[in-house]
Amino acid sequence: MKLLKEPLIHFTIAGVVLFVAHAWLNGDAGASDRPEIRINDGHLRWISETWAGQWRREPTDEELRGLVAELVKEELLAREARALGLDQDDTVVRRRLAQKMTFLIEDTARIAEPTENDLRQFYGAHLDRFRGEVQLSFTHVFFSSSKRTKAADDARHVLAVSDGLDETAILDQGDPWLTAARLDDVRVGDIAAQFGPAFARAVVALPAGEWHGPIESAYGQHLVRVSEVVPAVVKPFAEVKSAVREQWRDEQRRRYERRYFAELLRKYEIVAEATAEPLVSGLAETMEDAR
Amino acid sequence: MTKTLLQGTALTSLVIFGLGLPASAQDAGTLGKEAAERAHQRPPAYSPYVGRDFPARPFFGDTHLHTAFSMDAGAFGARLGPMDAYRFAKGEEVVSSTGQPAKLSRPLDFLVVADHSDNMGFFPDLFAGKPDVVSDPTGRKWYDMIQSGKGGDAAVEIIVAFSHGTFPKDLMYFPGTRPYASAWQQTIAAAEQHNEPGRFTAFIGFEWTSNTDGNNLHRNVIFRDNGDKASQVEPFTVYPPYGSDNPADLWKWMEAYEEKTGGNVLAIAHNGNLSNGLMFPVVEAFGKKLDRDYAETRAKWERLYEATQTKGDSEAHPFLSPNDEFASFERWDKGNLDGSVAKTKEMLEFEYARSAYKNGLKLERELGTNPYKFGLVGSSDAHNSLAAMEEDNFFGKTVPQEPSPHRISSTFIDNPKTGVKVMDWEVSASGYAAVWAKENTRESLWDAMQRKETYATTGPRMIVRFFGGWDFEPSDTENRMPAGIGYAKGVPMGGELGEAPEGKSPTFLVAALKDPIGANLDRYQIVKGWLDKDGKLHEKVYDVAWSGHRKPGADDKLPAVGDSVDLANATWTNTIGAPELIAVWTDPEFDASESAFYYGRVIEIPTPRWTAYDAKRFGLKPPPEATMTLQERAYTSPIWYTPKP
Repeated sequence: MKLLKEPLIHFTIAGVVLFVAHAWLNGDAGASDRPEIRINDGHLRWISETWAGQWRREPTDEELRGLVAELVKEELLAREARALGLDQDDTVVRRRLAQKMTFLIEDTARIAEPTENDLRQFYGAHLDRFRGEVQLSFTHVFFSSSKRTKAADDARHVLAVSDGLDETAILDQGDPWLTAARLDDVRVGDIAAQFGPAFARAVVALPAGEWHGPIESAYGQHLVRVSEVVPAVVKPFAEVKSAVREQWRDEQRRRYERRYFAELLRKYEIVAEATAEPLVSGLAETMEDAR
Repeated sequence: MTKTLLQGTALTSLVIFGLGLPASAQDAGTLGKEAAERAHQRPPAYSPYVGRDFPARPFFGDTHLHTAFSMDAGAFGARLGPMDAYRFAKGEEVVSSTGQPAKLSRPLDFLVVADHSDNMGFFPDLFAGKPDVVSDPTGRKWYDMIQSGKGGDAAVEIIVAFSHGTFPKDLMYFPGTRPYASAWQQTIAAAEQHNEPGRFTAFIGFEWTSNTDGNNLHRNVIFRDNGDKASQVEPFTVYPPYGSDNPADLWKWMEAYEEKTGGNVLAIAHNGNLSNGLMFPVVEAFGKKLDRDYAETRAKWERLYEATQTKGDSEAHPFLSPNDEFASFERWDKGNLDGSVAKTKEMLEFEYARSAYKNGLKLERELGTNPYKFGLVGSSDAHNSLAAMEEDNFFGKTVPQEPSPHRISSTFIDNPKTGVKVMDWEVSASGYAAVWAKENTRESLWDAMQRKETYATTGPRMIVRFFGGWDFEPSDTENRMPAGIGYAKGVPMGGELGEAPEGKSPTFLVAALKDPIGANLDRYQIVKGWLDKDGKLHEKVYDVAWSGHRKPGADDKLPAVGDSVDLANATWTNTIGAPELIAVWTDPEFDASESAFYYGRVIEIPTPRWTAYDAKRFGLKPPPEATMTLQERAYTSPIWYTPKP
């Protein structure tokens, strides 16, 4: 088990520290000369719940005692460290705080549950995201690199004299092919699975109607005529509903995040020195757009 | 790539269907004439669209993949469930149980999540500390062990308890209990969500895990049906009193399912190399003498056999086939699944596909039916939701075998009592099932499995055709669409030759394309087995098509293809071998009064094994005994010949 290596555990421990620190700073410290480290019911409950959340049971009294002892020790060290200014300009501390704030924002955004109408609206506004893949039908003539020394030249030659020949006559110039000479309604992946990825990319780029090539596959050269391209169509709402919900949530989270930053940017004034100025100048406006 | 010439020959008759360079094809002046000549050589009705009437391409998939829902998988650290398994198979990137990003080189076409039916879903619930589990004292103990970092010890304890019948009754997830029903419904839901007819098939299935005394007799059960039917039953299990370890009882369960729902199921027997002589019995099974009923029932339900997977290869064994220089491939012949009983030579005959096919002919003569008329597939049997069986992208059989600098030197089976020890480097990055179906749907793929139009691959996706008939001619190899001729004049892999016309010998049209992103092919062989008049069984391997200008030696053996592997860099080049092979072969030793089977074996040129990629990427010195290169291969389902009685 690698539970103790889990980031969640680290995060929880760090969270406890920060939580207590926060409670402390906002409490009525200074009531006595000696700084207090106070552990109240709220802390205990919080520690227990955190423990239970991870370990799926309440801590025993002994475990709780141990947790509190750890907490106090940690708090003592943290307090001293802070007094020495060790938290200043520390990337890890800053990142951890920022990350914790991010989690908070994400959690808040996640609470929202979309209505059917929300989803339909979202779907309607982003039809492109729910479009399937292009499908095409094509015929190919194979010139085997195993059987020919100049497969590409042979293919070029057949292409040059192909005018006026019907499809069968052109196909007859090629070599045996194990799967199909004509592929109907196939996607890029289907083509790649039979001929290799480079061939698939080349075929998808061809205009429909004429013979083209030679195009190289894993086996040799091919002349290809795309007969039909079915553009990618938007899938019906019912079919993609769960994906719509995923994306709607993602979108909400992002929007919430942007709005939150916009508000923060209004709360603070970003003062940039001359060299940094152009880099931060547009920031507030970008955030504002999200509203 | 150097120029390669394809040759098709029967070793004894040495008929070379010269697929040499058609000079005229490069000659502008004779184009029209050549076309006219060719038109006369082949049947007149020839449409380029004929491909629509028969399977035009094989679909590749895995019929045997475990997720965290399988108890042993969960115990050994699998955290990904069926949903992740399907996502990965579809080509999406997932994060493995060991936290490593994983992605296939290209999507699979289908997948069966086949979790062990006994205790299905137990481990995710144990790990999550579900009240049902931790309310039991033993469950509580295991849970605490896992939570305190002793998950490995817990896993061993759980597996031992399970295999020794001391698993707490109250903790068993068996049919009829609420948590079991939930696990099965989740399995079905994952398949339903990921099934995309025409694009990706997510089969509903499970593995029935008969493992008495450590002898592996597992079967994978695959549903043709959707969730509406599959959810009317719960998987058949082994643990008594609800289940049974006797395959005959599984067949009864399958029969009952079909009767109850009007649906269809088939079973694939697990590779037999760890069954210690029990997979293909010839005298008795589970205390009962084999009879016609056994033969008919087994042949009815067990349509396919898993000839290759992570736990080694079960096509042929060098002890049984001493003249076959390719028989010793990814060999696991030290004992049974838990290493509790060491292997003896007498067991081998009843564990390998080729010997089972042979014994099947004999049983057919005795019982009237051949119980071992199965087709072949390969599959992974991976226990980490990742059907990643590419040598350069192998994610192991279990979670501890996911890529790491340790896996090359770790132990997979170690039984100090018997001395049976299998190292992790022996685990095989194999394989996949190839299915010749008309479309990628549950129904179409399942029907192809049912008619055995399948082949096994050890990982690469080579395209393999195999047709048998009485009238194939050398010129059929020059037909623009060999498959059209193949289906018109013969039967595909998995079929029957039918009655022998007077004075004729079976002919075979064989062809293969290399994996489009893989290694070239060395050779295409036909393996023949037959039963003579005196009741003696025989086998012979014929080289029928190969790359280059090699000539068979005095011993009838074709020289090796060579080796382009650069082991230090774990690379190879396609400077040897051929991208395609095609030939027509006629059986030179046919006797119409003797029953026989024929199957194709396609061999790639040597390439680096996964151990070589590990050594390179982790900068390791592999154990000196580790295999570092291999010749990947495909095995087709046989075509059988049965004389008129």
